[in-house]
Amino acid sequence: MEDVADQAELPSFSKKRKYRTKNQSERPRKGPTPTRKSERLARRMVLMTSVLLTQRKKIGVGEQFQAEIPDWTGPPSDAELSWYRNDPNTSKMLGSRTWPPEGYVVQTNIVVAGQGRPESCNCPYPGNFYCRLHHINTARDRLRSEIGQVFKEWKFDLMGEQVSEMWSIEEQLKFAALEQLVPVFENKSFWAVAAKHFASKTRVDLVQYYLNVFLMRRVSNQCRLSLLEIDSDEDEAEEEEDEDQSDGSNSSQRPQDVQEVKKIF
Amino acid sequence: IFASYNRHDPRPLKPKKKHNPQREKKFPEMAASGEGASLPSPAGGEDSRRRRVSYFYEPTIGDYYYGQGHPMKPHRIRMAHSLVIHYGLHRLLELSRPFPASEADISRFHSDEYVSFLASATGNPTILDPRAVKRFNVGEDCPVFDGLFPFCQASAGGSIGAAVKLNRGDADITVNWAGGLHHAKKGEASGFCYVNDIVLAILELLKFHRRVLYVDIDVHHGDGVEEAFFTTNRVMTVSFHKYGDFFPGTGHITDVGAGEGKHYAVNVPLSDGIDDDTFRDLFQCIIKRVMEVYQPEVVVLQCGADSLAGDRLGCFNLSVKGHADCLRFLRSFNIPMMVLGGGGYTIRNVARCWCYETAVAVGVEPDNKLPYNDYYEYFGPDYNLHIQPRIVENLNTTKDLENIKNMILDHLSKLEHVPNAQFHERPSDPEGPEEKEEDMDKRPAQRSRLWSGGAYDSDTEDPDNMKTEANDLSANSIMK
Repeated sequence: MEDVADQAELPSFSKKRKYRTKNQSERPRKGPTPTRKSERLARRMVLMTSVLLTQRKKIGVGEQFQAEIPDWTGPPSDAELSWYRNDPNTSKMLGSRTWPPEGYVVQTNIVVAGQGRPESCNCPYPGNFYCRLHHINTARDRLRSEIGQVFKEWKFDLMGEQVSEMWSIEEQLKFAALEQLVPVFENKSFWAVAAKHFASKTRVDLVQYYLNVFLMRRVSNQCRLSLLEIDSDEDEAEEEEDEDQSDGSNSSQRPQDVQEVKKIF
Repeated sequence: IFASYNRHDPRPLKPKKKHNPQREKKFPEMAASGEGASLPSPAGGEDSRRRRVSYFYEPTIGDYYYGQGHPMKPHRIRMAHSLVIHYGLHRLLELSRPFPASEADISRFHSDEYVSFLASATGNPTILDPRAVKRFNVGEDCPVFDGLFPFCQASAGGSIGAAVKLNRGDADITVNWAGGLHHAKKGEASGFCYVNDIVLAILELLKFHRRVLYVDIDVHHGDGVEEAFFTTNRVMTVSFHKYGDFFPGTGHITDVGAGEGKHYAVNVPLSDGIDDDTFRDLFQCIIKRVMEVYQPEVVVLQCGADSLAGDRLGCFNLSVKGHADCLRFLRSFNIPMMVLGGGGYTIRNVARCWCYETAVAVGVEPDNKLPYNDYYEYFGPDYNLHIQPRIVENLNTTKDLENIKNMILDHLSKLEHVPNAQFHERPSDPEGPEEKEEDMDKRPAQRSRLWSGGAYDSDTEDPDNMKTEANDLSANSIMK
């Protein structure tokens, strides 16, 4: 492994982007400035450059890096345990129990869990889009009746295609069209542009729609068209913008999003 | 309460004697809400019996959004939750909404200035002091996004709550998929992580547990946790990760800790393409020895799912089953355990993995055909739970792995030779504080011309050990 000449070549998080790793020169110095061992080493290193083949990074040692570890004073006594259990500041960190709800009787040893979908169904065209849609809706209804108000507490009513129910067809088409234009936005954020075009929708609304509806439909299309590659992810199109690709081949996927919306409705 | 892990029992510091095989057979069947299992399992043995599992889930977590094109998507946690519930696993779990960690809670580890910055960095993300942005390493990998601090509070609150549950003995296994953000440092963000919920959770566990074992199977080195506990023997950190031209750059096999923490950090550096069998073999071998010499009272497992095959940022080749075998193996030691999330950037596979691992925690083997659910369309074309490894080359040669294994077992054997001196609580620094600080000081101008300015002084604790720095990073040259 050669010496790294350019900081940009250091291990970066994303294999597609060259991000700098931590900006280490910002770390505060400690202590006075006599002849440091590090400086002595640096002089030696000038002579040994050929030997130094590492760009190994090191863990920081010192007060600004380590956690403060409490001393172990022995196992807690019954009194300490009791105090801990009753201390409100500690118990509040347990959060609020959502399931099983108060008064719910747990049936031990007869619980059925881990069941997947059945092998077959009675749909006219098993496995097609409408078959899946039907079963997804049925599963949701079944869940709602099993867990009652916890369904809303867990926000199951704001998952998946349900989110599109709050968007008109026109809005969905506009969103898809805008998203197709991302490569020509240059420095503008898609979200900034979208916010302007959807004045009635909050940022949260837009993101919710994007994650629950738009991305999922895109993945669904890619599956259908056998375009799902090994490393592909939903944001592939946005990454192409970063990499300056003028290759238009992937844009042929985009019209599908719009067509999918038309097909559903 | 486990009979043999009753914290009121003073535990001997010597290595455990062999388990009496007779005891292993009489293992009482556990109901979901009944008493905990009370007998230790044979080390590494298969154990599908139930545990009391407590799972934390914040219903708003999926809406936090790092930004356009950013690979980290909290939405994956919501997808995992949907699978967990539609599989009916909630019937065997206790599920709680976490309480958000406060600034004071977070300052238990992080510096006050950094916490204040995070707490105030919400609102309009474009009005930020550029010096603060630089100082706290936010901006690109770690953007300031809408709701950043509440997101951190939920993540950390879940992990701290998980620790409190274990301390109280209310659960055998606690789960927080919003946690596991292992890169965050005391004074800065790193690698998509801002608040190190793991460190906060471990600090809580240390109130009631003398020794905590931390295991990290994210494809990236668990540097934030290792650094936080680098100089203590009360926490042993074990990380399996890709090493070599890969973020974050730490995690070399010879990084073993410092001061009182020397030999209490274990790093398993791996190459691309490691598969289920190779990983399992290495994992079980090393963890078995760690359990023998360290005898932790509680285990924290970071289940970063970017070590799965086909991950957008990862380069390993594990299937969901192979990944989950780590949890399964640790679970079989029958020690209180916390299970956390972490990396994972091909979100459909992250959801599969964490759903399956929730099932493993509970002791259920779910059907491979996914149940219908609101995110069903993400899982085509097969709509199955399990994934196939890719056809890629496993660059970890048998020889490399032998060398790694031997080197690590050798490091661990150093713990056995000094059994009584291991757990001294004296705060003295055997290396001498002056020398230490110089080593870790920022490099002067000369050094940054030598190599990029990114790497630290690569000196180890032994000042004469220049040869170590000369070794390159791959395992097979370690033995030169």
